[in-house]
Amino acid sequence: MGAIKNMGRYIGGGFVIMIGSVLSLVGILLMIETLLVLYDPLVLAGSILLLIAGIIIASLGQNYRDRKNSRNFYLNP
Amino acid sequence: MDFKGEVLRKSLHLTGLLVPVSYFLFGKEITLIFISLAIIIFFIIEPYRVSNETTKKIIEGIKPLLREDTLDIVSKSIESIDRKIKEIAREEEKIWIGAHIYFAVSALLVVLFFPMNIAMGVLSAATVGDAFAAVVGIKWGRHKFKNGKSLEGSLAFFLSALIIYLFFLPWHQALLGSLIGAIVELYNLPPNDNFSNPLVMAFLIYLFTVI
Repeated sequence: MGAIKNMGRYIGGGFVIMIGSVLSLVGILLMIETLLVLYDPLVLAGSILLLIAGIIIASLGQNYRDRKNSRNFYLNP
Repeated sequence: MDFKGEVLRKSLHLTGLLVPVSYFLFGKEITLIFISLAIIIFFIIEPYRVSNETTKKIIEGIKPLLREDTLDIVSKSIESIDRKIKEIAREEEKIWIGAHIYFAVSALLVVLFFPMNIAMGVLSAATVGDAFAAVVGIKWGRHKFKNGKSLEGSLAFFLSALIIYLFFLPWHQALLGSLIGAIVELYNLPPNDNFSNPLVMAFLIYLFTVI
């Protein structure tokens, strides 16, 4: 039961990290596009907020995945 | 941190007043660009600020470019600036992101989502009130709360914020804003008071105006 729980935490945490990373990537791309092409302050502010939201979501996912118990899974899966 | 360090830290924080000044002079769009660029620069610089190796690397990098006597003066100046920055940083800021990033993100949200008078009032009051609270609290704080903050500091925040709010808002909103600010400042809401204070004040004042 413990192993399944750990595996779930590992996969779930990884999934949240993936969502956060994708959001951050979209934020960075949007920021670059705004600075180079769009020149819209609202989009620039939005892209920064998207980037920050992505970082926060990814770090929450990482915290969840790397809790003490779930470490065992990727050290000894 | 000693009183002198705290005064230096808070006077640096007063540069946050550039945001309301920019909003007043240039309007919302230019201010958004200004804050956004500041956040991008902060994000790029922050790892170098936290790292202990940065000063050494800078000095190593400029070594071939300068004469020995000039290098000596420049490296001493760089080390002195680095020491000063480390002196005025809080313990958690030495390993984690600093208050300037929290404030910049909070300012971005406030300017983006709230009306001009609320945004300008909140950002000015949060910056000046925080500085006054710290200076008064350290120098004259006698009645301490459990978390180390003092009644005198909270009163200083309340009064300074109230005076600033009166320039931007009607008296009842100013009173509410400064009261909320003093309470939020006292409880030090997470993740950082520089982030939570302007946001909570702006949200509650806006809610009050809508209702």
